[in-house]
Amino acid sequence: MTAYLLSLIIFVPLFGALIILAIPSAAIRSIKYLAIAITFLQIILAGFIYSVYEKGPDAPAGVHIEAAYQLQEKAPWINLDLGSLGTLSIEYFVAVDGISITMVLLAAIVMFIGAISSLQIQVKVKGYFFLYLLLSGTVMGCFLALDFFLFYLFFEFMLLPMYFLIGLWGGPRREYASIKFFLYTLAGSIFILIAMISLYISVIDPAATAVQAGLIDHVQEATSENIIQLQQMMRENKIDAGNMVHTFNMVSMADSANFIPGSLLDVLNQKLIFGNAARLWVFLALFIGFAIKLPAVPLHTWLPDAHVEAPTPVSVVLAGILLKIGAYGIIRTAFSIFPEGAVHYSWLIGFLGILSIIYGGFNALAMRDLKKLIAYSSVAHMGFVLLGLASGTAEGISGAIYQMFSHGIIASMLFLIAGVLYERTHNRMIEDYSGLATKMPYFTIVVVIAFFASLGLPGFSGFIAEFLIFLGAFNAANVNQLLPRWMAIVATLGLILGAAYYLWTLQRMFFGKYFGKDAAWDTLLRDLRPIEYVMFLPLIILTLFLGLFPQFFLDLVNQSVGQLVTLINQTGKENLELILRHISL
Amino acid sequence: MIFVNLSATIAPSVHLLFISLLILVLPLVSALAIVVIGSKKVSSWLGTMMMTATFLLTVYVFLKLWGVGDLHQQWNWFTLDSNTYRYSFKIGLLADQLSLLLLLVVSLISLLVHLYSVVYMKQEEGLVRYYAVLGFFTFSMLGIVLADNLLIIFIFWELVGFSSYLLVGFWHKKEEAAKAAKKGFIINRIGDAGFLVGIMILWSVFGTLDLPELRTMMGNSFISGGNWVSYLPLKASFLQIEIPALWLTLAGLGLFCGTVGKSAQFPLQIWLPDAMQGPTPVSALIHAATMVAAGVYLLARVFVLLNTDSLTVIAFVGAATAFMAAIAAVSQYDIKKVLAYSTISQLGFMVMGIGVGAYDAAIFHLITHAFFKACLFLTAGSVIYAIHRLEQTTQEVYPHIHWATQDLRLMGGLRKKLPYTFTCFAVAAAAIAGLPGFSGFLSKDAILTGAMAWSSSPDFTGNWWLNLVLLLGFAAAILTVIYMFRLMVLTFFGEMRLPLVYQVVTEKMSALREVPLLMLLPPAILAACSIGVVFSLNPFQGAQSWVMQGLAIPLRKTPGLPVSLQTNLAIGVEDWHSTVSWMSIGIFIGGLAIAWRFYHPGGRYASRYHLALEPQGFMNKLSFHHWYLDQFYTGILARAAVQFALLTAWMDQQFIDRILHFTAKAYVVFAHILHWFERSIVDGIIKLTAYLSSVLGRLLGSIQGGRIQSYFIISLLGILLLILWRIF
Amino acid sequence: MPDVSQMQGLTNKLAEITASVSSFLPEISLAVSIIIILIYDLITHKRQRQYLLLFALVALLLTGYLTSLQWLSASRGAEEFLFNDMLVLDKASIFAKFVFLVAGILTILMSWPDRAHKPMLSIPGEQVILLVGLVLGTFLLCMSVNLLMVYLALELISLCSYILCTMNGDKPGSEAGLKFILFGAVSSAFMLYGMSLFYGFTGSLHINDPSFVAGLETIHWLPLTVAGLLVISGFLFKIAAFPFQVWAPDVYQGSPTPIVAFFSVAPKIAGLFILIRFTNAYSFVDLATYWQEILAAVAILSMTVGNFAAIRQKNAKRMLAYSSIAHGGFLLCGLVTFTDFGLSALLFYAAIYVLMNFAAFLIVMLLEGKTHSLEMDTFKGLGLKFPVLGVLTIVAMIALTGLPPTAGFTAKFLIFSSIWAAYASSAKPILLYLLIFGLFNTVISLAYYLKIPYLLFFKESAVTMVSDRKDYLKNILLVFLIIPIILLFFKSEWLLYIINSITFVFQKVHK
Repeated sequence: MTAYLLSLIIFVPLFGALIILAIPSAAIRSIKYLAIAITFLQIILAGFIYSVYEKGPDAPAGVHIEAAYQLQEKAPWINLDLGSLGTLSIEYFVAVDGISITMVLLAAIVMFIGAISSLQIQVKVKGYFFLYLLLSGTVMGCFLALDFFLFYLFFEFMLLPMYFLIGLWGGPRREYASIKFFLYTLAGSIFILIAMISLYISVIDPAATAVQAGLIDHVQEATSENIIQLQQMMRENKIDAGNMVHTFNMVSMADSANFIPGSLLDVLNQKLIFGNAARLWVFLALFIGFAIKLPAVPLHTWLPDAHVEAPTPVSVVLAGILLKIGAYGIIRTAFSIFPEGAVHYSWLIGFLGILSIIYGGFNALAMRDLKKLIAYSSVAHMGFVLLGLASGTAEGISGAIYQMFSHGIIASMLFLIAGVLYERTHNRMIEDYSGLATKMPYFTIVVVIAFFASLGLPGFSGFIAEFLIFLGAFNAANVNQLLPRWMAIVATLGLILGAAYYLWTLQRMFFGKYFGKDAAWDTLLRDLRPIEYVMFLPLIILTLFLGLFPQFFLDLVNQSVGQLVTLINQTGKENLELILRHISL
Repeated sequence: MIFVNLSATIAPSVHLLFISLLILVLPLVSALAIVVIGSKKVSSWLGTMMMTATFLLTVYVFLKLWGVGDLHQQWNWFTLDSNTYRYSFKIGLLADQLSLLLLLVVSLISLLVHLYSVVYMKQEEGLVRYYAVLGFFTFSMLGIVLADNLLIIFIFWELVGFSSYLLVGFWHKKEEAAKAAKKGFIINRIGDAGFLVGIMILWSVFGTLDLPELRTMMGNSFISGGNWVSYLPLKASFLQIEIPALWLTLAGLGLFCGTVGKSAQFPLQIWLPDAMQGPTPVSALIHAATMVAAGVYLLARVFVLLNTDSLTVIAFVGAATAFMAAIAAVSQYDIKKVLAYSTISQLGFMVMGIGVGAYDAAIFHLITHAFFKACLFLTAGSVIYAIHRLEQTTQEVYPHIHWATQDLRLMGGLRKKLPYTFTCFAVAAAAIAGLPGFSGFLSKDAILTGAMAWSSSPDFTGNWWLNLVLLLGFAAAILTVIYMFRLMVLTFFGEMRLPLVYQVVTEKMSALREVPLLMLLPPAILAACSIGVVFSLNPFQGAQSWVMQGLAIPLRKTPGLPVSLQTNLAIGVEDWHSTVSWMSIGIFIGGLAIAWRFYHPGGRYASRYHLALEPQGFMNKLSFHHWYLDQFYTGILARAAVQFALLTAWMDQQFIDRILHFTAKAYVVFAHILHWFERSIVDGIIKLTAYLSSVLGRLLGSIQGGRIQSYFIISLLGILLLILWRIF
Repeated sequence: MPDVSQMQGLTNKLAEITASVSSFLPEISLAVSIIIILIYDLITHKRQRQYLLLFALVALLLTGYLTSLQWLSASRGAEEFLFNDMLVLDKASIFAKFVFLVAGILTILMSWPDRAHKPMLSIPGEQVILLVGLVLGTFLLCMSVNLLMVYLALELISLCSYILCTMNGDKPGSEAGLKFILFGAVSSAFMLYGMSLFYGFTGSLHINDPSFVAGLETIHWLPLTVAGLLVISGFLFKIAAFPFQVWAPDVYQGSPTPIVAFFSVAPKIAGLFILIRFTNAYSFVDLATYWQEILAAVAILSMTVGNFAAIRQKNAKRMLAYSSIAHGGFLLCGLVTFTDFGLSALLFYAAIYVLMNFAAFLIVMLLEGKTHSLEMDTFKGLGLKFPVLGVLTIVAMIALTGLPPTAGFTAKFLIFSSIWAAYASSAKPILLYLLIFGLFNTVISLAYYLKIPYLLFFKESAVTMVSDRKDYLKNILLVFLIIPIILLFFKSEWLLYIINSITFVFQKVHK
């Protein structure tokens, strides 16, 4: 069972999607319950993964060491002969480390909550849940894939269900929003595609190449000595190009010894592209590609539109999971493969982070549509992730991953809140309501909790995340000189803005005398229904739990973050020194 | 959670530790229980009983530890851990002499407010919510007091702000209450952002937020070549940290920002008057006695980490706040507003006290102020309650009559109707005004002595402008006497002015009577605590009070501090003590004389006060509008922020998105151009050639075809272009 | 004696020709079928036209069988020169023949009349004959190594095409046909002139002949370039690449859909083949860089012009015409790298392109069958009415865009990989530009490929009159086109394995 856990969590929903195809579209209830059951099954599988995952200080932690990934599943998939270039090997390679396991847990939870929220879908139910489950599987695949090709497949494939979910079940401007979403993210993934191509052409799989070169008979026999020997031989040009096995394995890519000497992405390569090292360009390509998904200002304008038009559960999934794929991609590919880029461009990344925090915050302050406000607050909160990552410090990166999880939960809550109102009145304009606390007291309690959780009140998960990010971002100036101190200080403005737009909204919409723009709302605005409690309660409990017991989460990520920090601060700096020496020559 | 160490100053006593934890947790349990039970009847009594238990436990711990030693215990909360680093974030409980005092004050006043609210809030719909949040507030406040590190302090600090938000906005249907709650929280957040920066600086230099550890490490750090140098312990080695010395000052000022927000100091003091929108017992507990004092408490906690520059700033800010608020308190109509400004002013005193190094005096003032200000608020609450009762009785006959129950213009002469309330109020007023024999005299005198010693310290010779602090302090002290006297006269002396405005009330005046016993008891206890002998047997010597005797001024370790400063200050305090005492008495008498001159009972001012309109004249307006600070913030800053937000939103849609749209449109336009090019230029040439060839064709007898010939021309051109490109 | 030696030579030549015949069986089979169909058409009643299609199908299948025999007997890298070095038979050309056969078979299946369906063409016999003739032309073109043979093959294709596209008999068809003919004639003239120059330079028409190559080495680069460009213009005409793309939209719009599908695929690939062989000749004289830059520019312009022009189209076939211009550009990219890898990528792309382009035209046919219009606006809401067709459309469009999980992605992926690999080893900036433009064009192309699924699913149906005729055959055919498109993504090595067994003529000197 454990051997195939990861595949199960990816393919169970895909299989479920096929079953849904087989159910007649009139059987709406069975379709809905099946989808919920399958997402629940995904939670159980995620729970299994969590329980099997080795935690603690000595646990293998992945990142750039392949052996240190857990629950590995590896199977050859595509092997292409590229003639004089050697061969190309694409594998079905999934595994977890501390960073991805948190995302898998998050995705399972949010998908389940989203499925419950999808009960309100009334039209084209079959198609909806088919796409929803499709999305569910691909999202998991994205977080688990360690083969770049596989990752890219899932990453791209995610676009389609999302496009149709927004475009078919969305609001009035859904077509515009869905196309914008699609084109934007496709533009991003083109950057990732070019990075992927340039990477696999430069990188070999040392074990498989050792087999080709006759060092060993079988890949399984490869020891670390063999690999080092092979890498040494390759450095000395003793390996024939035709014998090289190019790989998409992201972990192999993270080892600069696996880069073919003289290839453009070799650390020692001296050829420049437009005055900059190829490695740095490719880092930027990856970063931009994922920054669109994240989204970082100024690449964010698809987000408000997509969110406003998407139906509630899709917004939940979009904010809860899909944005995290952007951040996850930056960690998994850009930072792990090109740590020198993380060092070289830390200023830029940090700057985009604080730009997102402040720009997103101010925009949220100006919004009149509740959902748009929440969308911009997402931009601001994901800005914290960038800031934390840019710092390259233990606190900053731990905080960034914490924020990814925390924002996943809190943003889900926030979009559900917007959904509750929209479902009742089909109106989300802040100024059209007042004094909702009188009408819907329990809903107001949920809103207060969610808003305060989002603005980073201690006790909720967001506080731990943002606190760590602040410490890390400021500390970077002392530890590794990646960020200037003023960035962390300026970012604290985000805290004030967060308080401002949330509390202003609370005051305008929920407090004061009751007022609804339409008299008919009097009867429509009823307090939460049981099914809505079922959605909110787990999220509230989770954000409180993570706010009070951070160690639970940190036990998972600590070792991986430690490796990533070392990777950035040692390998990254060494590589950068080598590269910059060439540039200056 | 893991036990890290058991490093208590006294022999580790598990049962004291347990009781201390119980003190912290009981109010939270109370809050949760109230929410779970959800019954109005139960909540008030459950809350009060739990608070009683908390208070009794506090007394027990206090008696066990006061003058004996500190209790300190740490647990690991969470750790960032890997092969190369290990950052621990701990939860710690520190019950030292300072926190013991605060513990006592907080739990006592909270208990009294719980008790008082049983009657005062009886009619309220949201009573469950009220008691739950009150319990939660007490929990958070005790958390601040008991925490041993800055992270935990910060956490409870924010929670206190959150509970304040909920309590100020208790009457959420009231627009003003909702706005005041929002304003309070946002402005506190501004301060907290600064606090966070302070924490970041200390973390980056010392790698810990533990106060005892910070104290040690601050002592080991030093200034060298304009840099602040420290050694940060890593897992196996030390990392030398070197950052510009300015950050030392900024760290102090950052932490002070927290105080500025929470203790309503200049320039963030504007939220406190608005916070009076909350129920009056809440004002007594949170916005007079405890939460706002937390800022001062924080300064005391981090006192050892503050350097000279930041302390000087703190002293100035405190003095300025004290003076500004005292001015504002002189001309308010609203009884609670007067008390609110008075609170700001007194907080300014305390902050000034810390700034001048009179640590013990500031804390002493914090405590005395907590009692007499809580008393003032509760008695003011009683007045409001009584007048509200009168209003309700009147409304039974005249339902259309409404008046502002807190408006001083309608009060007067209540001494006769509310004799017990008046007595309590008078005692507390005497204390705040600094009548010798009352607690306020002792503590204020001690602060002024400290300020005197500071400004005349040989370490600061030549810095004449330090005397400005002293001057502002004295001025504020005189103003305190004046506004308190005015408040007394307008509320309790003379004749009641309400019947002058609403004649019909006369027939219902019998409804105006003393409040129930349960509402009298808490102010009475607080009034008793405002008498000088409770603290010190010597009515002129605050320094001999048990509070100041029990609190030693901690030795400051900040690099760059003049070595002799603290000794000189101590000597200065000794030298100046009797002089300042006489001056304080003089201030009181002088203030009284001025106040009498303007406001004496039965005088024109008081008897015609119901006619008072918006204040006229620049000074009066300045006072009434509190230096126009609020107008500046809401009118200029907040509006600017919103305008900027609108600008960014505009930018987002009109600029960033426009670029995108522009690109998209450019695609289409380009597509159109291509199309146009094909249709007009290509086809145009074709048509032209067609025309020409039809002419030619007529000549040569050929038909059609011309169009195609021009296709050929186009392609020929294309090929020629390619050739030309290759050639050049 | 001279007579004897001449006789000897003649005998040798005759012997060679007879020897060559055995390697010429597929072509012969095609030629014979043409004759049989012609006779059958003459002697039978018009109503039995499906039998004509059946005949052609059998002929193509037979040819396929013969071709696969050739494939099996051909060894890696072996080249067989036929008919006095007029033609070359190597694995590459056999592969190309398969592609053409598949295209031909698909065309016939697409033209297969449905029950109660108006016939596609009024003169099916001739249509079928010409189609087989076209296949024969492409067969010959991909094998040609002699400029004269190239010309003949090209003209065979052209002539068949001209007639096929005008055969509709309606006005736009004939006008488009006329344009096509005259335009084709001009480009042929260019080409012929260029060829004559080459003959003048080298005294040989055989592009793989050492003397041809040696002759080129002595010529000044300017006349060489001019002559080369003139020759290439004929090939570019067949590929419909810039600046010879002008005819395509009109012709595509005016011609019957199955024929268009064939036009958009087979002559294009045949043209690419001869372009490869021709530029190969230049690679000896170190002029490859010249061709690289020129062809890269042509590729970039074709992609860009095709994609941009496609954005604003409202007619589905016209849009696909521009799309095929853009794809021509992408195909050229593989050639421009001048590496084995690039050519493998090109072949892969070509094979996949056949599948997805036929799928796209088939979809257009099916949709046209529903609404009796080619205006895309009339397709609104059809996806919800016919979900299976809708989903298949999505897959086809995604494949044309080049997104996973379709082989269209793999094809683009290989093309981009080959460009990057070539750039990485040669660091020629033009390759980087090619890559950037290629990627950029991929994004742009999404905008219009997405339009059809967008209209199918997101828009409410505007036309109420939707014929619900069941085109079972075409639906099944579509499914069978889509399956390999997806399958070859997951197992691209199956196709690439075949392609890799071809050692391309590159860098290979003929003695």
